[in-house]
Amino acid sequence: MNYPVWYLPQVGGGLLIAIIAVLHVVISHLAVGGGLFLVLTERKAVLTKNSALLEYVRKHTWFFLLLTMVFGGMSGVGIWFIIALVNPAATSSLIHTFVFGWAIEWVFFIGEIVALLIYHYRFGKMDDKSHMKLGWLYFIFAWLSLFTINGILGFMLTPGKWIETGSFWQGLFNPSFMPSLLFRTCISLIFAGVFGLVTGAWLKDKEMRRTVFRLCAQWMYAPLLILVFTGIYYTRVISAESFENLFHFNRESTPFITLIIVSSILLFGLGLFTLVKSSQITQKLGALTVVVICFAWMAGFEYMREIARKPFVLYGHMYSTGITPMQMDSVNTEGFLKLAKWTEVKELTDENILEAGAEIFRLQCMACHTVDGYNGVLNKSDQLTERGLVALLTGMGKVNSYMPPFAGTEEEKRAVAAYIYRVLQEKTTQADVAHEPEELPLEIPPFNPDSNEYVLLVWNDLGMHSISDNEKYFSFQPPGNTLNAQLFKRGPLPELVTSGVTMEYAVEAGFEHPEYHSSFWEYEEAIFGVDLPEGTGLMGKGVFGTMESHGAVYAAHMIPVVPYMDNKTYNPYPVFTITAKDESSGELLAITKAVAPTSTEMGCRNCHEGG
Amino acid sequence: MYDSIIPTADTIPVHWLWFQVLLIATFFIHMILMNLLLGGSLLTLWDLFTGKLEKRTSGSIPTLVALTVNFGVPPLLFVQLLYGHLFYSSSVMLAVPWILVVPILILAYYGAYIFIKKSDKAPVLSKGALIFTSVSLLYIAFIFVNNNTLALQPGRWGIYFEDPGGWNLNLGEPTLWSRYLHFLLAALAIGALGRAIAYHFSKTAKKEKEIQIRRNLKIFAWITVVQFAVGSWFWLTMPETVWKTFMGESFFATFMMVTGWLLALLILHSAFTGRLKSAMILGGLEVLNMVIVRDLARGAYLKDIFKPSQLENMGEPSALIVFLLIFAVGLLAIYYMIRLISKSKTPQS
Repeated sequence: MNYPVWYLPQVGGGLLIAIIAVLHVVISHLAVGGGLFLVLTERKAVLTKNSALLEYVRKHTWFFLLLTMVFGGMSGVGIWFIIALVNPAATSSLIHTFVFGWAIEWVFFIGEIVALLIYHYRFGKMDDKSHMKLGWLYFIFAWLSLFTINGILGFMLTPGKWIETGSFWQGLFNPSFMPSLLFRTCISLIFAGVFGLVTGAWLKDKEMRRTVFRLCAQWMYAPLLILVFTGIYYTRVISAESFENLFHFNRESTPFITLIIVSSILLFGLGLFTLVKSSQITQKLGALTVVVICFAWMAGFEYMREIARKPFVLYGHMYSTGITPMQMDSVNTEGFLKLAKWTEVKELTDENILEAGAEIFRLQCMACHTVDGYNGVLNKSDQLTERGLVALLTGMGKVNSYMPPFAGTEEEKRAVAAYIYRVLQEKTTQADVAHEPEELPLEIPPFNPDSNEYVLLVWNDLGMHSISDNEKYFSFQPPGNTLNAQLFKRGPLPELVTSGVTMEYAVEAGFEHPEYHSSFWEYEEAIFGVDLPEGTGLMGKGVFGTMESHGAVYAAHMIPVVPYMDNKTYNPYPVFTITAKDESSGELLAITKAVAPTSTEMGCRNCHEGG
Repeated sequence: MYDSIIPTADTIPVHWLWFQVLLIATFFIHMILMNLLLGGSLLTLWDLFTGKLEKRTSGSIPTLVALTVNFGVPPLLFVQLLYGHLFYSSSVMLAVPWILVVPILILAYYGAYIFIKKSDKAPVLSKGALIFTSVSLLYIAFIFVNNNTLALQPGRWGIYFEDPGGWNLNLGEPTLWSRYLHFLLAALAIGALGRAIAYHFSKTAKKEKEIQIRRNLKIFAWITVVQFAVGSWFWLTMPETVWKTFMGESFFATFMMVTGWLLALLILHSAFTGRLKSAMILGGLEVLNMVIVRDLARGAYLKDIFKPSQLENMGEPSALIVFLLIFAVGLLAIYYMIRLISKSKTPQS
């Protein structure tokens, strides 16, 4: 709202951040753990007088310098550049809040650079003790650099008391500071082992390769257990909302959780090749493969961190859109266009609705979405009507808690929906055209008024039983239609039959397995506190069964019928056949059919007054 | 005009003057290093094509890349503290060439290493790498000039609405080319001065050393002569409100400008007469002077738009104090590391 938005309809700024961040973060972690790897390996070589191992350290230092100082250092600047382009408001906030944090980190980084340059250029030209002092100083500076940056990164996810106090120190030493620091330190040690394999695989001496591989394996596997525990610790300090979004609600996280699990298995599974005798070519390929897996692993981790932060870019302080929660009231009252700076449309009229929608889309939605690229709106909205889009925008920040609330007036919301539907989707709105459903065949059981001794009346207790059908996220109503039946014995004085009858009901073909089409039976225990057999409703009834006598009526409560048929069609009018039989002889007394209307198109305002 | 779209600035933790001083101090160091790197690369390239390449000075290019970038971080940080709302906006307008600075810089850095490491085994590759590095540095400087000028002129920000895709350079800016040339020549001048200093401390034979010092000081001097003309061109292409600031409207600005001219005259004298030490001191003072003049010019550009003194101050100095302490410890650590080199002569076992 405060800054211009870099218009990237296909690529998206988020993807650019991700690419640069993943590359940088792997190398920057290596820069920390690798420093300790260098000095400890040098120490080992010196103590054991192993000149070949010392030569390996010398070669690895050069590789390490080219990778960490050149690529790592420069790509770090790259992250700064790209976040300022994609989300200038958040970057400005981070810079202004933590200016002296960044400045302190810069001091550590200069220390790193000086130490590493001297360590490399004076390798073999200094006494061992002095040279190793430089190695230790490098590692200390590198770890302190991680220490500082870790605080700022943690702040983005768990700002803690900073939200109330604005204190630099409370922001830096936030709730996730310690788990994140331990977790990242472990990663850095693991990466030191992985990248050590690369230079190790290119050594000419076979025995030396084996020695280095065994050494690297120790670095890879020793921190593993602590990594797992600190990872669990990490998930415990993030907010409950973040946790639920990450692991339950936001479908976007599924591929990245999978990625991190698969790459972890691959990394530590394939890593075992370091302990097996193999040819040099296998060792080279293996080393490069585990390096690639490290990048995949980091992509999973970074994306999960990103998703956990949603709908915020700075948790609790600034939404992904660059708007703060404190600004929302005035934006919703006065209008987004009026308050946003970088728009040429300042007022919404009937004539400029699409143009205004385009401006709001660019300034709000494109903070995370592209048009038709990564996280593209076209793909995500192609099943929605224009009215559906308005509903989606209304639900943002409420039902859909990983997206920020729409900022603007109702008219502005409709303008965005119109722009997405009419311009991006290139559809014409059909909001005013009523749907004319096809009439389904229905065979009513014959009834002969001259000969039939009984008449059976059956009805559903509601005109429409609406089910929320997304128990993973919330539940307003579970599947559960109630059928009531009354059997009358015909005659000059009609008689209501209340006993001696077996009243059976059965759903029509195609609706027999509601458990195939609903997630109700995955969450019923969490929501309702009962563990039900699949296909059974909250009152113990299935879609086939017997009604009980309740005085004047027979009834089957909470029949868990859903409007989905086995042939994948949607039919909100499932028909039940109800038969009344003599309890002792089994003779059929009467038969009829009744509709048990049930729908997932829950729209409270369709029946109830709004307010 | 587009003044209404200028973003609202964020609050700062301590008084703005802290950041102003830190900005000028760190930008001065960055400028010296950047001039040595860019000027040094271009002069080395010239030597390479004229067959006068001297490895002694060219070998420091990769280290200079590392130091220039790392000492570029604090001024970029402090400028964002004071002028971030302007700088971020202009960056978005030229986002594509701006973000390309990063991969180009990485490749230029690798190019610098290829240049020195492959000069014997693969001279053609080495030469090509230096050309690439030099051209890359010229590109980066050009993009910085574009961004910095655009940040100062919200009146030109309407270009964003014509192309929000980030392809806008500030090519319509009247000072663009004079400014770029002025800074480029400054880099060549300081690069030549740096080479003269490097020769002074090198182990080159005395006679050759004197020849090279005189030669590089002459380059320094002649470029300074040209700078009188280019600097004047740059000055006069600025808006009237800006150049008049240096012509009596502001006493301090005028004083600094006059000092700059006097320093340049003294540089000519010392460089043409081969006085390295005074040329070095005067050259350093001239860079410092120009950094301050540049800052005053920025103030004049933004006179009716924004002043850093308008920024709200949160009054939280504790982090500043810790930074200053850590900075002091960092300097001591660097001193200690450099001492380790001089004290330790014994080859490793």
